[in-house]
Amino acid sequence: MNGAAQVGVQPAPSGERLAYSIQESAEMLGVNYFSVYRLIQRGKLKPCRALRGKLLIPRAELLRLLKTE
Amino acid sequence: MLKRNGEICQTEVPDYPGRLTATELRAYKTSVALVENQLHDLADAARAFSDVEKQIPQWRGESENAAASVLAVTGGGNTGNQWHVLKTLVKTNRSELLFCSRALEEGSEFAVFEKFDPNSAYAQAQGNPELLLTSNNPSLLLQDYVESERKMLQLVKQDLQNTVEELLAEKFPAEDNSRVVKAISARCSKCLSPAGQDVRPPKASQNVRVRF
Repeated sequence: MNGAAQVGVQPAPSGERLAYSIQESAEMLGVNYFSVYRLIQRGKLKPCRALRGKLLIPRAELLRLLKTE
Repeated sequence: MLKRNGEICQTEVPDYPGRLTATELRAYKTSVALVENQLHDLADAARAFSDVEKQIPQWRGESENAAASVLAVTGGGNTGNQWHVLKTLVKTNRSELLFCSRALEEGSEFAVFEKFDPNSAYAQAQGNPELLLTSNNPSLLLQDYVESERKMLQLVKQDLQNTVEELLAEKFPAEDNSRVVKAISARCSKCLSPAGQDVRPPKASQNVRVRF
């Protein structure tokens, strides 16, 4: 089972990261990272930005997409 | 002989008109090593979409195979007649973009689907495949598809540049990394340009601003 399923079923322990890179998010969702950019472009996934503009996906967004919240 | 911060600007790098100092070159090589796979992916994707674009005039919605396969749809998206796969537009390690059609009473409907690995968490949660675009005009649909993929690649490119900027700020915090970022940006632009087309701007002196 990949990391996505674990993210989906486990409550966030204290100290859990609040956001993940595009690559990490793709791993969690089990999709190619281009698919994550498509989801952002279509408005299905709402990213936030790091200080220098790098896109991050909030943990809550991933959980919402995986319908675990 | 041009110097910057006491160092000679002597090294040329691909697709960038300026020359980098030894310090900048070290940062450049570090950056490229970290994002090399993404640069290859960008170039491959741009090439694939360019190929699709070139073939659009030839496609009138007929299948390449005599027996077009039926697209199995799971989740809530299976309404109406069955979709038939006319062509695989792009295939990656974890998904396929499929050009499909189905018969309706008033004619044919065309669509682009993204089909995921059925075992992926996303596919299991959201259904599979996912409908991206539909139209009754196959040429317009494919043009829209190519356009949306190009915008997606621009987003990837921008994010790659921002990622490099962040990496450089972490690894070389005391240096001015602006030219390195521009050099990486130029390389990304080259990746996205149609195959064989050189986007290298003309050689410019250090006083001339070059826009990428």
